[in-house]
Amino acid sequence: MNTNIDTKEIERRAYFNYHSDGIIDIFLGISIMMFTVSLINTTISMVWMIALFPLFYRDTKRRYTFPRLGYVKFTEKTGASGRSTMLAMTLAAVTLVVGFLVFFSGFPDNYDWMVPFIENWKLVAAGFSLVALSLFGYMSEIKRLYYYAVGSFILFAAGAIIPIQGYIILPVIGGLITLSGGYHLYRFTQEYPLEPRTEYE
Amino acid sequence: MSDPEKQVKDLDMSEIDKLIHEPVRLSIIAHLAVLESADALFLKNQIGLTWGNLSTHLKRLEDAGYVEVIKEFIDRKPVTSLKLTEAGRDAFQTYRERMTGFLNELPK
Repeated sequence: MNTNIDTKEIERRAYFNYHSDGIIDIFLGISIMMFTVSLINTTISMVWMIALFPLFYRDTKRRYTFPRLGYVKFTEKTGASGRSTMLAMTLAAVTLVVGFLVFFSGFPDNYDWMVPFIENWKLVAAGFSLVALSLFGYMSEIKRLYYYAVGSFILFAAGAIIPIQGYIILPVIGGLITLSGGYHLYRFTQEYPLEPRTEYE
Repeated sequence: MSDPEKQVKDLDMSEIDKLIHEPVRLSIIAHLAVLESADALFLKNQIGLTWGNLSTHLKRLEDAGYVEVIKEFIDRKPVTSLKLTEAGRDAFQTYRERMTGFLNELPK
């Protein structure tokens, strides 16, 4: 008989199962890829789509995660709710930054500094991607985001040694994160197949 | 009779809530205690139960007034959520205290 009820562990497991679907990775990866495309082509409409991602994210969760894993609401007193709030705030902050960039993209000269910056300052970009993705991982406590942080750091750092165009590295990182998210989503759908409804649904 | 044996004999388990003491129901209550609410599918997946088993235990907890069933609309879709009632929360807290006390009194 185990009477040692670890409520923290129960909550932690519920939170990680909720995020084991890889959807956040897919959106993150696609955002990075679309951002790169918009940098190169200054295609404003694509950047606007990134700003809508928090809405798409919620809708995708509703379509894929809830019917398979079930619906859950975390309490405001616990860490899981705090982490979810922080994630939502980060998404809102990213949306604001993207909106800011979109606003200034009306002036092509103001927007063009980024490509040469990434091109000439790959080690700075490496450090930035390491810090940004690690911060995202720290806030969400999703461990695989740390791996993405280290992976992107290595890719940018390698780009400083190997003659490769800097803006190519960004979509590669985005693509790898999206692929990883796709793999996690596949595993999630295998682990939690759709089930018939019951009296409690 | 040695002292440890006497201590065990003196321990009284009659005040332990038998409804919560059952492992599956204890797990359901513990999950609902740390979550604001969850639906039956989420509980089934987290605890690893069959629908029949979960239904039986949920019904007993609902009848005892420990769990309430809330029908709500989330994102315009009907969701049947399960939530721990105040009585359920109190019963769980009391159970934890009593079991901790009971186990602490056992001789090492």
